[in-house]
Amino acid sequence: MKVATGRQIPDQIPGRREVRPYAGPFAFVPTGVKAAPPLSMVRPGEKKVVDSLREAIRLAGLKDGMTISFHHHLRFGDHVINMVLDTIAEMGIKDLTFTATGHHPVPESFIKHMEDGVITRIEHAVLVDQLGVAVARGLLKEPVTIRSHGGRPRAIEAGELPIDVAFIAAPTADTYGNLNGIDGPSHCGSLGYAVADAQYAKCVVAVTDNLVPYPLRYISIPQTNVDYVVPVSKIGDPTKIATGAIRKTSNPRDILIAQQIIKVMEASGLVQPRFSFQAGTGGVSLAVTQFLTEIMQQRDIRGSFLMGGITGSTVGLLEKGLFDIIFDVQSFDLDAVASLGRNPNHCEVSASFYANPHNKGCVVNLLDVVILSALEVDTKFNVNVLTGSDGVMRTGPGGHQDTAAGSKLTIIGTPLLHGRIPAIVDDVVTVVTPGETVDVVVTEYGVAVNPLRQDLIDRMKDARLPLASIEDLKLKAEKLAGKPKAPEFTDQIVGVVEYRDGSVIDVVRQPRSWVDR
Amino acid sequence: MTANGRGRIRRSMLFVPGNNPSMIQTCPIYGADSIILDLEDSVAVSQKDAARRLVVHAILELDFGGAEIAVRINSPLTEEGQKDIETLMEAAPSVFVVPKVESAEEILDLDSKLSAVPIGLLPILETPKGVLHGEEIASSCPRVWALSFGAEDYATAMGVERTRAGRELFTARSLVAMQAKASGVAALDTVFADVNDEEGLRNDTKEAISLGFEGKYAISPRQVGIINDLFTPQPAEIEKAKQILETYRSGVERGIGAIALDGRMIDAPVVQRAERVLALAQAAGLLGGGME
Repeated sequence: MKVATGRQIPDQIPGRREVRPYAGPFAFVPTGVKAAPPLSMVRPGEKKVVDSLREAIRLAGLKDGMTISFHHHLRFGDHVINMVLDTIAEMGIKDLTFTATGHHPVPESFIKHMEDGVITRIEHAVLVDQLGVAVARGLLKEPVTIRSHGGRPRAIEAGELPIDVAFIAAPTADTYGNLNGIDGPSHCGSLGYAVADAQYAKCVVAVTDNLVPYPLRYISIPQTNVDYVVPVSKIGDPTKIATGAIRKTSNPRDILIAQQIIKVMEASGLVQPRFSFQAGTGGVSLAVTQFLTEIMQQRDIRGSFLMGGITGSTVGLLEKGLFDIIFDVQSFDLDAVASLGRNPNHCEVSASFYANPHNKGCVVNLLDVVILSALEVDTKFNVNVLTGSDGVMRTGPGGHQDTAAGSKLTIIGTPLLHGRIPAIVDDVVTVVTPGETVDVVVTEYGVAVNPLRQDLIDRMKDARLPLASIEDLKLKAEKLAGKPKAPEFTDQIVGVVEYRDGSVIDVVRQPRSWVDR
Repeated sequence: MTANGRGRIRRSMLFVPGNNPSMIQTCPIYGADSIILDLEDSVAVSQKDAARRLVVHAILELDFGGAEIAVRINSPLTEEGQKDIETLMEAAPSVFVVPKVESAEEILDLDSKLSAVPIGLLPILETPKGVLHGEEIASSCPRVWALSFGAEDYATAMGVERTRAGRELFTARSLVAMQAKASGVAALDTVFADVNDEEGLRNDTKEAISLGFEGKYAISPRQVGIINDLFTPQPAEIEKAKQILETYRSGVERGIGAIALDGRMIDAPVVQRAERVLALAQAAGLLGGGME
């Protein structure tokens, strides 16, 4: 069947009950009621602290075939995922479905657990390191489901991603299961992505290296959601969790792209009092944030709220009084962690609050401008932020689909070439974010505005911007780097890309180059 | 050889190492008026041959947009410099930037080697001897389109420390600018070496402008925008220049002897300055509502 972007997807996909094709960013209207965790009871005097992970897993009733979940707030410093998986493997439990909220480290042992049948399905994870390759090799029985930051809590709340046991790495926990990420040696700031898992999993196990007496002063995940607390010596490597302040880029190409993005933002007329803004943590985004600071100070503009991956740079905007509020679903550096702990205008929010399209209003709906990156953009403005040029899934969609759909102005900032690979192509390998939600593509060689946004084109014409058509940019990229050979695929589907509303926007097939490797 | 490259706008001239294909490919995007593919200081001796081949192919194959393409050759007094000249003649860049020039003879010798190949010359004066011979070097042949100053080697030759304020360079810079103007060619200023010091670059460029320089070398793409901005006239200056030229033309048409605007005489130097302001504005895309 055909989705609204024009892509063909199969009528049936292994492991998937229903294949609903993507029909437009807000075409699908949900019905029915939310899922719910089972009722439970803790009697006075009962304790939640459990001596060992093995005991907590036993008490949680984890059995073959169940689903376990993790968050990615400890990022590349996370030790909890491996600690839990190793213990589960030792206990002989198999055939589990794994789900995580985003990037996490993938050591050899993780792949071994897949090979040994401990993990046999993945329901949303970010396929970094060797995990993408393992999936491309066909190690799993069923395709991996890829969801956005808003799409994942939506799926949990809709009952499409039921979680049996959620393991929550907690930088600080009290003895009755209140958790936060701002205190303790492994502090990571916000725990926003773990909130849906904590609310909807049948059983919640917190794993902490900073167990404190009851009650905790700052609560991100409350005791009412947590069944057990397991103290361990170390939940992660702090040097890889929240690093020192992420500094501005000195890459002249990124600075040039950022300067053009600022011109686009100004020309759009959206940089006005009460303006809201989201940018990422890449070089271009940080440079945009720096230039935006200068413009807002010069024009004496005070914005409304900031969102996204929060860094010291974002915190600087809040502390200079240029914005009222930070909504923080993930903190990226120590400045952001410290700010979350001390500044009442720096607010921790859940992924559902941030980006779930099927609640009573998520924040992305109120965004004016978002700056996003891309691996590839095609001449229909569709964006791929998932598969590399070899067809292997190597990263994840994050909030890309969500913010593009919600914001008034979606700007993709990308170099024209990634290394020697064109970033502007006829057809992206995988459609993650549909072109109809993307407004402007900014490269170092020119700025292309989506023809659907004639209003923006009119505004940009007077702004001394190097406007080009997306086809011109594609031709320029091909002139510089040639036209790369498209990857070849088998018929086997290894990934299903959900749109944030639960429809299927594309599938990822097995790259032929990884068959039998 | 004509002097038709003399009037060209060269606010910023960006050095790009001749052995770095990635930088050569991306350098046109930063808006430098001239791109100097460098075969001299930024290329190790062991890589000179490869860099020469790369630079020739880049000139013949790549699209550098509207930028002027220059090559900084090694000193023609060296073996590497001679190879540069022989190899690069086939690619015929617009300009050779010639380092460490100290005499008119060096330029005349190079002029005869280039024969009919239409390549302009931008000598860099970077020794006390070179600085003192600036006027004869600039006047030696019509291929010389501009004189430029090189601070680092000059300071070494003088045995003085480079400072952020640059007082040790004041006399030499002034002399180079003056000799260029006396010879009817443009004056181009030395590089500002600290690429992370934006404020220092601004001050140094303002100093160059105050001394009469019309452009400045850049060693990082990040310097190009700042240099271009400072050498680009402000809207009020552009408006004034338009008024001067309009008043002047109208006066000439009506046969008026002494043309004045707001009580001030418009004579030939005033007209020339106004024309240059508009040329700079044009280069910056500030005229005609076009895109940069």
